[in-house]
Amino acid sequence: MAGAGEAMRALAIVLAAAAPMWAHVGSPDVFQEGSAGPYKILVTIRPPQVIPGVAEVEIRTTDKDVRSIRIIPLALTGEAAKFAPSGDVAAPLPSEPGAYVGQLWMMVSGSWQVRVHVEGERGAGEMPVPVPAVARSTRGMETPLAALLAILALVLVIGTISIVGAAVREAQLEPGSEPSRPRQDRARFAAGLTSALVLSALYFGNLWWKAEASAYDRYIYKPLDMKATLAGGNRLELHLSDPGWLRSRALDDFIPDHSHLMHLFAVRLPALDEIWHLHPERRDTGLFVHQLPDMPAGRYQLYGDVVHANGLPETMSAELEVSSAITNGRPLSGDDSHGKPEVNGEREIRFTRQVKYQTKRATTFAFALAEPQGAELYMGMPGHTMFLRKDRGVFAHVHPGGSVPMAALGLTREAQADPHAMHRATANEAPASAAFPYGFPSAGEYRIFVQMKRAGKVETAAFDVSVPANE
Amino acid sequence: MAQAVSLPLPRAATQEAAVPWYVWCAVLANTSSMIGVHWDISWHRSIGRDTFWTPAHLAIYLCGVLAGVSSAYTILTATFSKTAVEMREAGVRIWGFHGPLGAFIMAWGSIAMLTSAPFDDWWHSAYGLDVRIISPPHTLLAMGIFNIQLGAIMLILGRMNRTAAAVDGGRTLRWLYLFMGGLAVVNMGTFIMEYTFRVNMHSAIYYRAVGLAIPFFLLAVSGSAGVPWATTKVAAVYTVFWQTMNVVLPLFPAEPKLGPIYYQVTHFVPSAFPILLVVPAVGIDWFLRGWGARMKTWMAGAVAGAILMAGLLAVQWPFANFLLSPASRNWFFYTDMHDYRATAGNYSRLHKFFQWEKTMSEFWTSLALAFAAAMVTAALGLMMSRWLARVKR
Repeated sequence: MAGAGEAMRALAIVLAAAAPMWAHVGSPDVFQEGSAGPYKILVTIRPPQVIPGVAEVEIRTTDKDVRSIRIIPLALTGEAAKFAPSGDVAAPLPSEPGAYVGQLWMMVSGSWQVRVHVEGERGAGEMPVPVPAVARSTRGMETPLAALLAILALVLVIGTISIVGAAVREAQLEPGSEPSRPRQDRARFAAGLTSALVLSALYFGNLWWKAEASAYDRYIYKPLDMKATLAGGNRLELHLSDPGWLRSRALDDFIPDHSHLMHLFAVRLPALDEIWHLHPERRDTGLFVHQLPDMPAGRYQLYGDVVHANGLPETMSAELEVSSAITNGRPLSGDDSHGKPEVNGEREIRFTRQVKYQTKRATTFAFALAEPQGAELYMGMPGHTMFLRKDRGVFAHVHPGGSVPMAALGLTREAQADPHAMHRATANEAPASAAFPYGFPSAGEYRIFVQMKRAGKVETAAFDVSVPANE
Repeated sequence: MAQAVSLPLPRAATQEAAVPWYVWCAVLANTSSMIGVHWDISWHRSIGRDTFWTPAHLAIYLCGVLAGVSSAYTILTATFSKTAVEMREAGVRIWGFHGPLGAFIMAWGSIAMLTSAPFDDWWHSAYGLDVRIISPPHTLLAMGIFNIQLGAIMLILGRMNRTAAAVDGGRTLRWLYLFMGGLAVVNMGTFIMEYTFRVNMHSAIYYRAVGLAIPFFLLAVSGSAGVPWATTKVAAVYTVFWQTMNVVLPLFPAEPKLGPIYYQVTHFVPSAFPILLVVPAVGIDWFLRGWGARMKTWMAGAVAGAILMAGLLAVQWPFANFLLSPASRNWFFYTDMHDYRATAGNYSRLHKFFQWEKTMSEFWTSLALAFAAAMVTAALGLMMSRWLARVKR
């Protein structure tokens, strides 16, 4: 059975090549804006809950000359990134001109990309969108289905016993004759024996089901654990550990995203009124360290963004307790920043609000510096946004291109061919304003932190948005 | 059943010898499921993904629907129709219903298949699509398919044994019986497909899988068919059906719609060349007509099992060398076609034998087990055939 052995080995190689993880917290959908050749497109990918499973892909474009769109799934890196399947057609959505929808199968956990191939009057173009595919949950069985299956199972069980009984009792009789007493006794014995066999089959079947379910549970994504401790007053130590998931996940394979191995966001609790955007240094496998700036005493929610070598991002979360205010901290330097903005205040950054927000809908969040003179890129970007649901169940760090980390984009074929392509695309935009594609994963009260740079200073603004449940 | 030949047959029995529509339905249902299963396996190896509505799935589920409707109609007619007295008297009773035993077994298989559909759908949504091929819902589906096959065999058998070979119609029934026997062997061959790829043909696991899965059905059917050279005929049905699927499938284009892809596929990938069962089957028939006829049933069965295994080793082992050679890379043996998931190190792609057993002692132990399994299952199959030969309802 080399076939199955080979298949298992192939799977192991894929998993090893694609150590899986998860972007953001509670926000699995991927939003990415960019160019497929001459066509501007906004892509939304909703990865499946289970792997293998079906991802939903939506593409929106304002270009009227687009004729057809195909979507092609393949691995982001490794041997399997070389061969593309034929892909699927994304069908135009009749109710929404310029919108196309399609479905794709994601067969193994790991770092995938979806290539969006657009054809139109101006020729063809392609845009890759990295997407992490991980199993997120096991679905329970609804009561009506459970009841239906239970009834059918009962019919099958009693049916088996009755059929065996009838076979022994009557199958060999001449037509029209009645079974003798010994034959009836034999039939009863056979039915009794069958009952025992069926019951043991059910018992072992149940054990098998449980074993399968628990084997699957091991594949459900668990983010890296992060423990935050303070040493020597302001030395923040972040201890990373693997809570157990796929064995191929490593703690020492992070790649730089905007020149930093980790982007750490510290938000003050419970008011969520202050935010620090820091970049701890890696000191050892699973250990990141940062000399904190001055911070008031209190509790902080930490979110640490990292990207593994295969392009899969992970966001780790932890709480930090600062028992006494840090007053002799290291002043902010480099790309580190801090903000204590007035919520919904538009003194530095203005927000073009929509009348109403919907869940799971790709929306463009547009921000502009109130004073455009002196606008600069902040870590190569016109801006950074952090979407935080106030119960802290959702956190997403989004760029003007979308929710995909630049480090993952850098692994795509296009970026490999021209490593500055992505940066140039963003650098060409007017840095005094920025638009961020994102969709709220669920209803709730959200706070959006926005950071843009002007005259050497990082400006931070905060806006509250209420997202109602979809009707 | 051959002794009934000389008895004068009443008119009713003569009429019964015609093949009724529900028997044709049963045979058609089973042919559809076996075509569907092979097509579906190839679909997963070539295209990789499916929905419920692929033609291969529809062919499988057509089996459940055909079997369910025809058996339900037969049972309800036998139970409630005032004119169906003979049908009622030639049937068994279950839960107050009357009908042929085979119809009840087919109805069971049909319910099992239909139950597996929502169960499988939920399984996929809970644990992912086809994480494992052998999962609880797939096992239920396989049990459904198997029982529809068993039901069809019993349905034909009951009529065949009642009408004996007195009229010409009996000949059609016997051929249908042999055909169904061949499909049963196809089914078991499919079940052990993972173990019977050509790269395993020099490993004992190949022979152990065949020894466990094939002899029971081969001999249970051939021993109760009441025709000469029945084992050879059943094995021939298996070979022709399997090879027809293998030759036809690659005629149609197919390309993977899923990643990761390790090998570019352009047409439907067929399964391995059929097991060379026909050769040992000739030996078994020859033995059962001569010495075997004078032995006790279990002993004759055990010897038949040993003949099967020895014959298979004699032909399959050297044939395996041919299947790995460049001479076999053509439209008839298709050994140059591989799954889209076959990595560069895949033994099939490398045309190399995979050594399943890592030591010689492991190999010989496994081969001894293969002989033991073939002898036990063949003995049980031949004993079962004696019981089947007396089934009349």
